[in-house]
Amino acid sequence: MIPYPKLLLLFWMFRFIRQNRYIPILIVVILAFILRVYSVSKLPPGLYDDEVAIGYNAYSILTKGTDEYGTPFPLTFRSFDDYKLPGYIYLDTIPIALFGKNAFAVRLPSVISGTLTVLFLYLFLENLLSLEFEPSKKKFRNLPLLSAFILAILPWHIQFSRAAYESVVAVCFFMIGCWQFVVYYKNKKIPYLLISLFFFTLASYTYHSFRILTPIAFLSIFYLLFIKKFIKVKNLFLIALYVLILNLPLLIFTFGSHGTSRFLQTSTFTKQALPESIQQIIPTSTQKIPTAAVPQPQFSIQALLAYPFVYLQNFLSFFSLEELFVRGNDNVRFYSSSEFGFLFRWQLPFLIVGLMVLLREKSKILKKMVLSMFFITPAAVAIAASPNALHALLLVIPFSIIIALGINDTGQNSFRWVKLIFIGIIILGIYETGLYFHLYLSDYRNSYTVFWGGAQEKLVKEVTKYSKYYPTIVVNETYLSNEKIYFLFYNDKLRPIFVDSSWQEPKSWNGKPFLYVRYPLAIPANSGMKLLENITLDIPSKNTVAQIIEL
Amino acid sequence: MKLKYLIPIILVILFGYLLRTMLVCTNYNGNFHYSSVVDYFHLRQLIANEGSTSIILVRIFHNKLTVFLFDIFGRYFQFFDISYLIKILSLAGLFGLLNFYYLLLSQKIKNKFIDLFGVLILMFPLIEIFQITKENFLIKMILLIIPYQIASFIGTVSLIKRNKKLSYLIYFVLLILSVGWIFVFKNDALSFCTTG
Repeated sequence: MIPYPKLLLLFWMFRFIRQNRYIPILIVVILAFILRVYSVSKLPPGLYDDEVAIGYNAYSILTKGTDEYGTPFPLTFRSFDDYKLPGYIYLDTIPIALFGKNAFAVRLPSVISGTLTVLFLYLFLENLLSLEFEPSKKKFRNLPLLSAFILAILPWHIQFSRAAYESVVAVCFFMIGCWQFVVYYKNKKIPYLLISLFFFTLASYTYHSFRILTPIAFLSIFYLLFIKKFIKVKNLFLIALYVLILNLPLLIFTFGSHGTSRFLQTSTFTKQALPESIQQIIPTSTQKIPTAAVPQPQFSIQALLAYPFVYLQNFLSFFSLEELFVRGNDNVRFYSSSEFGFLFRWQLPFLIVGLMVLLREKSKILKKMVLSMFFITPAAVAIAASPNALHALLLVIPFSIIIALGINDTGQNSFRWVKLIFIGIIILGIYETGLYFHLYLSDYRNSYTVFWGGAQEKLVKEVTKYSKYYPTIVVNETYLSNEKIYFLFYNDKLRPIFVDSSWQEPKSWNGKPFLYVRYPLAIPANSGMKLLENITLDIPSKNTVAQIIEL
Repeated sequence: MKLKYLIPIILVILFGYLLRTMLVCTNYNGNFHYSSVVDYFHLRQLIANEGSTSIILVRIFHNKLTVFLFDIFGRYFQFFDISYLIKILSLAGLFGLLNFYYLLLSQKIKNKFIDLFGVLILMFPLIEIFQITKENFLIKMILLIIPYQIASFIGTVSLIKRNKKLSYLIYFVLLILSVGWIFVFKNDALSFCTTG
């Protein structure tokens, strides 16, 4: 039995939460924050090379005002010749200034944006629904809160929000843009429209896939403004000019050689990215561009046939149930457990019901908004090798809304058997969600440390320790990719010489012994090598990932 | 000939051709079948990965029932994998199937038999997962491939019935694309089945 005063306290708390409409969303946002920030510097285990590059470039901007190559305040960061967009890196200068150059500071913008996306989804839906329904109307009253809750616990969003992925920040900016646009639609006050367009633009300065998604958003907004005649034609031109000025630097980048190079690196239509059966049939030519020489399929009947087919296959792959619920992507950094996909299995029935509700729904704005995000996102990113959960991260928004619609509808159903099934699924859901977090906290570290560069910090620390005795440090990057950025990030005072597989190991360096770092291999007798240390992963299997050798 | 009649005819011929190519199959490959041995080793692996976690938690989260349910779920979804569906239906056929389920979900088809058919064919993969029938592949085709082709055909015909010229045209292009793909690129290997 619960003692009477405690019961009274519980009752009072429940009434307080019910009466204060912002308390529930506050609880959801706090939950989202905890799930994203808890042990974030240790899990995912280690910083992978892109995160380190982001962190080092942010640090370099903060201290020297240049990127790692010495370019002052660049618009795009050359990094690994993948030309990173500036949004995340400039944002990251703040936590790096506050907390220093470490994993927590590198990941903080992602954590905060991921959390805020939950809040902005709520605000967006609240405003969107108020366009069509009276606030008192019961039907969709809980939808904003439910959607925010689903997003808060969604494996897809949690996984990316816990690492420095630009896409998470871009989704957050995009949601602010959507929310502000709906507010403008309601109030017809121009500042809201300008803020909305500004945030859409910020999204496209943050992640590459938004360079396609944002223009689509702009076109839809201008079409709506023109059709609905909210703004005079003259003012519409002024707003278009505002958008053009905001986007001009990005447009120059996109159509410049670096933008093209980035497109060719990720495009599904380059020869390497096409399925093997097509590669053999389509004739190709190598187009030389400054940073990459990628074989390009020549125009031919076969290419004409293959391009749309591959594109449509890519588009459909985003809805593959196996990817969504069971396997996740091939990229192990994209899913948080080998047992889980991007969504929970218990969400499938609600996803189906949610789709049914949405398709039958007479409310035009909600239906159009959600379905357009649901289909346009994969359509826009299907030009790259697919399905790529990171490119299509914006899909978490329509998925959360549709699943919430399903829960909302099933929960309101008055049939007794439906209620029983509903309760059954929720119980299973609690179990599966618990299992997910259990595996993430226990198994994930042991299974995936190696893919996250889990031993790199340890390697640089050990090399630093030995550097007192060896003036020359040589790092062989064969099988150890992008080591340079790890050395810059963890100790930029060390100046190792980086060599590749073609390098022949000499017995000494200018007659003096030197420190040699390489991938673990057998040390032949009489090679003159003396093993100083094996760098192992801090997991039970203790795999060796690098060797420090005296030569 | 009008597109209205041409599309279903081409689709039926395409389905027939796809079925003919599948005649070399003798069974679905092992990934589609439930195996208690695989589950046993998988469970042992999960428990081994736990290290020093408390035994109660390990028991709660890693047990035969959970592993069994997750395994069945995974195998079931392979029957709805996009690349598998494209192989048995072609790209155009897949859009037909999607339209069929769209019509069912949005209640635009109000025929109880079609509703029942739509739900029933979702159950058929369980027959293969548990290998209830070990008959030859022809019977498996009748149970696991032809019903989906029928559903796709219904979906396609309903799409055409809407009498919108644009949807005709788009679907026709899709169909040409599918036919071209199969004949130019030989539809890859039938990776979902074993042959010989």
